[in-house]
Amino acid sequence: MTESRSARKLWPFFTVLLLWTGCSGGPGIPNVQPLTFPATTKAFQQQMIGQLTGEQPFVLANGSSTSLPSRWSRSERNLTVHYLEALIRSMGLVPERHTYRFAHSNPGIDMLLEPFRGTNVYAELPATVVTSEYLVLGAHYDTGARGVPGAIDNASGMALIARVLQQASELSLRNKNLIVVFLDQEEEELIGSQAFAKKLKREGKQVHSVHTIDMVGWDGDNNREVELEMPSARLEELYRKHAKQLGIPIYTTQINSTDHFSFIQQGYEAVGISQAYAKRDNSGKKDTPEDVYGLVNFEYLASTTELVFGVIADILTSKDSTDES
Amino acid sequence: MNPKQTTLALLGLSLLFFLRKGVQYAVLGSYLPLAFALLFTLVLGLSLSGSPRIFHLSARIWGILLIAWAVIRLFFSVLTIIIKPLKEYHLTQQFGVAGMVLSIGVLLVGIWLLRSLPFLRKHQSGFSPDRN
Repeated sequence: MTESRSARKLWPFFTVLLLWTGCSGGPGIPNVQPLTFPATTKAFQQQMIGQLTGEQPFVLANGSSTSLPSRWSRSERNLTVHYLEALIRSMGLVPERHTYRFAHSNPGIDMLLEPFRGTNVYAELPATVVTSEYLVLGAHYDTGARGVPGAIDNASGMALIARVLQQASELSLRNKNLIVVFLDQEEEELIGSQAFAKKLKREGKQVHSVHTIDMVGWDGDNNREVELEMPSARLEELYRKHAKQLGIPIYTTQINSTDHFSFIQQGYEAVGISQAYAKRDNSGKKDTPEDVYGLVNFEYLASTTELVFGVIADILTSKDSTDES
Repeated sequence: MNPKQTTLALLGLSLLFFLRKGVQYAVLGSYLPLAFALLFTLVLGLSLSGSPRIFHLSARIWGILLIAWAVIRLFFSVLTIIIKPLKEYHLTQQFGVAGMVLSIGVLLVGIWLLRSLPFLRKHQSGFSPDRN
């Protein structure tokens, strides 16, 4: 009798519990009001990094002002997604969401945990000619720990690819389509880029190459040096050619701990671009609350942006394709 | 609802929970959770009307596994909340307060199953074909 009564009491509890754990979705966030950016690279990137690190507020569609002190939790990342969509719209392009779920690398962990969930945000800048070939440019938008503004890691990379997208949209000739993607969950086993690389593969996209940018805001010795991670011979040659023209020192590493590796694993030609990470020319503030706006070297960021844009423009305007290579 | 019905309902709900998880992962290309949940669902389902001995044994194993599942998760929850916060949001979220409540829920179901099965065996009255 007593057991029966306590069982009756338990019923609603378990039912609600199981339904709750089976449901998904967080609180709704209103869109971000249209953004406008200054014309110069430095001012453009200052505004963008300021808004992505809580330094500068921005306005939501409901008229309220908000800021992004971090991009770690789901609600912070959701707000970042809205911001990035507004950014893409500000360039006259249509933002797309790639929402994914992803299993763990170990099936035993799958037994214990729910799958990864995240959202990549991307835009496609179409070629000016008819082609099915794509060039992919990416940077992750998540931060590595609670309360971390992530100015260098990786608002700097996001500001770089946003500026390159804007500049590429002004090219009068593009022989390839350009996909610019803001990747989620790089800090959590490169999940966002793994999901996006698989999506490209599943859709059978013909990809010339993938360029991912991670941490391009620190240059302690002011030598403008850039690190290329796991480049193919063809991409290394291209970057070296443009770096030489700009007087930028360049070196290569086999670092595989960031997003470019996810694309290489899917068989794509890819390269990671970073500040001189392997040479320890770093702020030492990665994944700390001190990775703030004030740390960013905007001259270095503009210099690296110029290099990457040179390479991207070269590939976009050249007639060589993955078919011919 | 009498204890037997409660036990069967909790057993069913716990299987449904893991079947849901299994299907979710199977879609993502990871089949272990579904294989695990299907194995117990089939064994429990078939033995429910066919073999009380196998039913009780498999339900007992299921109860033990539920407790083990919950205890491992609770261990990480305690680690995360009290001792050292994890950096990864994905883990922090699942081992946080909501994850802890889920683990405690599953732990209670596991304990309920283990406690009620011997009682049911003594008072087999409804779901065993050889009760007469």
